[in-house]
Amino acid sequence: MTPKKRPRRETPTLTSVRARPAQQLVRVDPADEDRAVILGQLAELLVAHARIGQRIAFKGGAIMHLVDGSARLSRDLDGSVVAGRPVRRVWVEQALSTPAARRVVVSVPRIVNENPSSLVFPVVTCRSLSRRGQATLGVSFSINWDDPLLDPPMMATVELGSRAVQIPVLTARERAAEKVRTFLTRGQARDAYDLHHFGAHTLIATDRRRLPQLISRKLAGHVPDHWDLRARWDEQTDLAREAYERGEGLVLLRPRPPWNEVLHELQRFRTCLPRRAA
Amino acid sequence: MSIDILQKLGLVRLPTVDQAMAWLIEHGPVVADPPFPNWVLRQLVRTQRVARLRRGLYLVPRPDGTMLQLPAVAALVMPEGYLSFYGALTLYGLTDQDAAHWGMVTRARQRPLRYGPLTLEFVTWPARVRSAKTRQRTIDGVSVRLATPVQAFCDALEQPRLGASFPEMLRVLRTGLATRALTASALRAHARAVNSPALARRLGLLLELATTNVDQELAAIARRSHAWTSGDRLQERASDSRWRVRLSRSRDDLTRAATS
Repeated sequence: MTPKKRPRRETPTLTSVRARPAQQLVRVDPADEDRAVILGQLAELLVAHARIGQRIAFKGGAIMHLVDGSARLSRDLDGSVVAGRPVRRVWVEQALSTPAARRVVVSVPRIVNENPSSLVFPVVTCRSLSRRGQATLGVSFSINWDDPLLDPPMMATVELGSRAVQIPVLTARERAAEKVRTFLTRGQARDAYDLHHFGAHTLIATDRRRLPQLISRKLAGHVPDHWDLRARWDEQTDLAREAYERGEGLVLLRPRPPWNEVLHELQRFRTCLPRRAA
Repeated sequence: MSIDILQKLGLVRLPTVDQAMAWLIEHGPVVADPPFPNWVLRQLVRTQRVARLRRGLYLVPRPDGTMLQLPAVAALVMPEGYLSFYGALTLYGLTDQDAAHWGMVTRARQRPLRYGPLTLEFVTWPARVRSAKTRQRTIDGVSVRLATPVQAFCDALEQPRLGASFPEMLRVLRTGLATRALTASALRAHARAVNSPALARRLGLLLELATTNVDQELAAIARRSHAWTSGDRLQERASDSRWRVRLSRSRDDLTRAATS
């Protein structure tokens, strides 16, 4: 049996080589760089709270950027409760009203969506770090406790400007398993990019061995039993390809990888899927 | 003795490229057709000291070394236009995602701008430039005319290429309704004023998915024509007969995707 050839990279043309530096000059809105640090500071503030700190671990796009070095920037901080028990709104409000928090957060957010298994703060107004005057930035923040974590969280070091802090995060393989579930239900270009990043840069061999089991457990009860998961995966891949090629919903610090490289990683994750959710 | 005096006395000669850079900063931050040979501009762009927005239009840092954000650049290029669509919705904090494609409504046609990974398109709607509901916001010291959330949301539904996917628009709508940045009555009033079946269909479907209420006024506008409307720009895989919209995924999938 001949081994499968890896897809070839596109050959750069003279025009594309010349155009690249100009296109990459101002890579993102500078506020987004601020936002990443602010999200890290918010995580630090929440971890410092006596009631929340012992229960929460972080995940999502912000953590991928801060911990895994993903090029995709995010505006929201996602947290999961380790034991699957609820977090009270008042605890978050306490965490965001300390003297240290006042240097980051302009005021305690008033708009809160309190759901049975999550707490969402859609607009948290924070002080901009690099801009002078009264400039502010909006970020969002959510905590969910719909299912307990499968792996114990790990401590990750996050660079916040000139200092480094340690915050609890979900293990990379558990985050990848959750991303697989999200891809099956959402199928956005950014999910495909994140899975590519997990597959190509973050997961190691031992993670991959554990991944099928984690995915099965993450899917149970969260997707309909009648779904043929691999057929569903292929449908979502088609949807994501269309959006990815147009760059929909993707703002990256680095040039986005060609679709065939993303597809290669998606196919590897597909092999970890069970036929149906248990 | 400062370098300027040494230069005036002819004791020091600064390289041409640096002189050009100094001139650009003095005349910036947005400079059209700078009077320099192409090789100088190419070198400045290649060394990432200035950004080429499009042919003949350059963005240079301000004297303090900072670069303007895209909304401020857009306002400097077309001061009478207004910034709208999904990009404006991100500025209101109605989504946790960033917009890669920004849109500005203008009187006259303009070529698009490219700013790092972001693009800015100009949509020619002369009548709407006058009538649109907007507010002024200062971004990086530049006064920017920004569509109100309702205006931006409806504009994005009218021009799906400058909006986001249907699940993402549904998420924006839910966040907007929860934070009261958007209200069903204001959206309905806007759609009635525009009186476009395509807008009524897309908005009617999203409002129904977000609130479970079928808006009869929007349904009446939506059923005025027999032709069907494409929901988003993705390949059509499902259809919704109530709103006469062709969709890339079913209603259930839309709702599921918007909540995940």
